[in-house]
Amino acid sequence: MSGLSADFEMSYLAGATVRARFERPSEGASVTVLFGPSGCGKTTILRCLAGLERPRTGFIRFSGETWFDASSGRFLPPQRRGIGFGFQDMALFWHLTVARNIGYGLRKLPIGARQRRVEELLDLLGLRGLQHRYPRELSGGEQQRVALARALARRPRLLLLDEPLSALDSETRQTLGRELRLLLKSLGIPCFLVTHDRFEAMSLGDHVLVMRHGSILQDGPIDEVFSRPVNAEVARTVGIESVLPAEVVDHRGGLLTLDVGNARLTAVAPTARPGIGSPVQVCIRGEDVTLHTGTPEGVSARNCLPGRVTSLLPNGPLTRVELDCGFRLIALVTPEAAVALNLHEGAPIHAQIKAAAVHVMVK
Amino acid sequence: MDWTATWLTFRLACCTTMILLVIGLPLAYWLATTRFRARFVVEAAVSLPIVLPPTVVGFYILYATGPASPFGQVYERAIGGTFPFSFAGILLASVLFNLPFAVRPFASAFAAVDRRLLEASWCLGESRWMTFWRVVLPVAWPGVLTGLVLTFAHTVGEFGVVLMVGGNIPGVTRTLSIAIYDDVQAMNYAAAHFTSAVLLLFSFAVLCLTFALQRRILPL
Repeated sequence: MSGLSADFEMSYLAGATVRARFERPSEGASVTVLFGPSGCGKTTILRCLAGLERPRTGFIRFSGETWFDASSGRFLPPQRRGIGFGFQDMALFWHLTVARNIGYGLRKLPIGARQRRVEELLDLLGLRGLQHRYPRELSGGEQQRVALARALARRPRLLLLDEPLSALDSETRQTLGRELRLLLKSLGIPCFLVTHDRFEAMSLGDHVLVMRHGSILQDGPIDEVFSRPVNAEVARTVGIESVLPAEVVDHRGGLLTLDVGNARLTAVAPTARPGIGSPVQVCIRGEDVTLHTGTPEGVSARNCLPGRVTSLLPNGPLTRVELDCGFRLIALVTPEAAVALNLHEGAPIHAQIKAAAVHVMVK
Repeated sequence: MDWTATWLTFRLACCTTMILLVIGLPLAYWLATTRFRARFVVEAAVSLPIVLPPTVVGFYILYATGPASPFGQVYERAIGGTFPFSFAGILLASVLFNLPFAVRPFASAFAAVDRRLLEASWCLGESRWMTFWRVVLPVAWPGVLTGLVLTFAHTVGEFGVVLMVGGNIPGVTRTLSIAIYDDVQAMNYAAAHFTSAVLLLFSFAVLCLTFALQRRILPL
């Protein structure tokens, strides 16, 4: 296995234990996101990969090298792993200028080569003109670019980023997020990135490890994991708005009929066929729910449920509409749509969901 | 003003400060970073001179290095003379007695260095040793400077332990504070007053300098 292969357990004195088991290729620019709520152990996994923490058991191997192996006692210190690490609070050397921060890890290069490399990185991250400033004289976004440049200076074989955008305001986060995605793709360095923000995860990642309470719950391509979680816990962790218990009442032609609360839904059957009468969980993403004031006609969506609006809340750029249509359903619509449909508490409404958007989880 | 005593005091303070820089920095760094459980024992031992009377420290130094002690006999055979009542004797006393004044500010400055900075340095390929020189010391240096200035000033004003271990030999162990004591005993108040005023001004100026330097150099 030429990639990164890890299977280890790390426990703290306080008693919390973090378990990790995964394999990722080391070629190409694949971005693996460690996703989960704060305190779930994602930063611990990143720190174990960096060699800043030493797991209790197991192993970590990268490109044919053993970085850690509890059975042989081998532990490669962070200095010798050839990684680039981005800290959540950036950890810039505040006593050094931007140029010296970027060139910090290049001490062994001759001075000319070091200067050329620093210049390259100043250009790559758009920091030209700031090289003589000190970190405290920079904006948050600029500081984050310096931190990235510093981590990239030594041409790491693996990039590890802990919440790279969390210290930034939302506008800077969006622009830097787009740039970061392009940068990671163009560098061709595999990257592990920790985040608790699903939009950040979806915009930056290719692959995701969903974590909760110190364990990896699901490991797969990001689109798949975020739209087809394996169980209700993953569905809640990745922030799918409606996660509901249901019962199978009929099963024909690859479609399931389900009782959810006091309503009946049609869903596409999952590969693991649940028997009639068996309890399952369904999840429905808020953006997959369409709202209508009248009874819609001539539409393809199989599920059309009458109900009432129970609450309206702003949710980022969208409005989160909570409905009672025999069960509690959340829809995400634009604020303009909410105004056009005259949505208010108690308003009667029809919710429409395509059968393919009702994801059935057997576990 | 007793110029012999002034010169001796200055030499003693310089030597003490230099020695404490060399042994205090590693000791303080160890105290600030170790996970050794019994660290508190070492911390307590280092801090003893703050609470112990100088006579107690002086007494044990005399006891351990006097002519009757194994160290005293080796010293007499190798170098000749006795270790107490010599410059080396008061230097050892001064170093031991000033240990907390150097080590405690050093250690608290080291402990205040953000651990992430050290980790960032390790991830950039630098060893712990190089990280000390490139990150820890530059970031913690106002604290190190404070420790050195306090040590210097405190040695200049040291009385009890120097009198116990060194006695009162002009040009060898008679420092400024002992000269003042002598002058007062001899009812030579004018000389005592002058030397006291000089020491008072010196100490105040040194402390002003320390606080001013810290203000200007520390960010925020």
